[in-house]
Amino acid sequence: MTLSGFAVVAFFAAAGAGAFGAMIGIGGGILITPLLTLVFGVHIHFAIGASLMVVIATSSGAAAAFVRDHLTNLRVGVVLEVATVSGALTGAALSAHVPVPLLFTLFGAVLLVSLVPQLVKLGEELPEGVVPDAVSRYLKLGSSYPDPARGGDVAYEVTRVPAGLACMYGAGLLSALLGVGSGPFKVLSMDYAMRLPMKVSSATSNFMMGVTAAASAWVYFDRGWVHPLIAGPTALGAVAGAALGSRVLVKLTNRTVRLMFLPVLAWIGVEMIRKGLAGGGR
Amino acid sequence: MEDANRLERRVGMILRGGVVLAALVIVAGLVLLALRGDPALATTADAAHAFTQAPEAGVRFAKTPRAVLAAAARVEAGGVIQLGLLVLMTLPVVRVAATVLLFMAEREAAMALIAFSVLVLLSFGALD
Repeated sequence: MTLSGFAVVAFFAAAGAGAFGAMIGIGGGILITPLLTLVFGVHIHFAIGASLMVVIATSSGAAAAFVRDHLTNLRVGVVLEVATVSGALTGAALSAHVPVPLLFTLFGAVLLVSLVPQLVKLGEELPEGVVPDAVSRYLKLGSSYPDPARGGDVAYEVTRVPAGLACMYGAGLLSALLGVGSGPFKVLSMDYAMRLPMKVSSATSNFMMGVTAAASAWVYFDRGWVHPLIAGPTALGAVAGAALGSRVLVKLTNRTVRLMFLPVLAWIGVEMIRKGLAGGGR
Repeated sequence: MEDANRLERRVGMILRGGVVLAALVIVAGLVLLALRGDPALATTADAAHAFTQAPEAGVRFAKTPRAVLAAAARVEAGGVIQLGLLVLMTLPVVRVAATVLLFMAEREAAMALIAFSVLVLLSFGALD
């Protein structure tokens, strides 16, 4: 295959992954690395570099919507970014020393865990009786969001900020190590530790994703992991595909239809684990 | 509060514009690649084979922003694509810098300081 031939193929493959991700509501980033490594045999370090570009592009592209939706809690996002960015820098430093087969195994495991929110509804729509902790009170993290179903703005409080920070450090570390947004992990820690309403936690997590990814992306760029010929077409394709998937194609809100795709995703996760356990990818 | 909202909206627009700009630069680089190729992008003519090697095995494309600018100035396909990627990677930094200004404008010292520390952490990654 020629260089530009590869670029064209990578663009369309990434567009497919982006569209598929948008349709079933899973981040495009988590599909890019399996696609590049399992299908194209790209080295996982190059795949991680490319995948981070996809995460940054998706998150930055959605930044305009965040002002309109009034769901993102900017204060919570910024406070937690201290932890995710620290975690990402740790992960980026570690990643050069993690054996490649272990990266595959870990990736597969994270992909499988990411499917859990598709199966069961996690978190609470609007947690009741949340008592803000000292940090939350000092930084005035509590806020409100518009909920048409309840008719008007709904106020909420935020609690256990230190526990949330600890979880976010882990989410940032995973994000850097595997080149994913690790959105499901962020939502878990915001929902369970800090008890944010579900809509607020997922919007805030999307908001933070780009900044977290940028922290490790700069390190990987210096390391030569961001291959222009892989990252360029992949980022373009994934963003175009996601836009197409969410606008032109139908968003699959029907849970039954979404569940039909779960075995495919689970199979990809298992394949990644198998490749890792077999010591592949070096 | 109104000013803050306006600033936020403007930042949102800058970020979206930045994504479009980055995409255009990457497309320009890919067109260049199709027209004249770029020897710095692969060790062999078979691109897919070159990608299976670890980056540590030796890559010949630019790895620092300065080298990327130089390669882009020489109108090399790889350098131009990388310039687009660098634009993309700068957007989250712009986002955080704008957040610092936002909290300063609202006279929220603690929040501005927290946002500033995120900016400092990000620069550790960029400058190491």
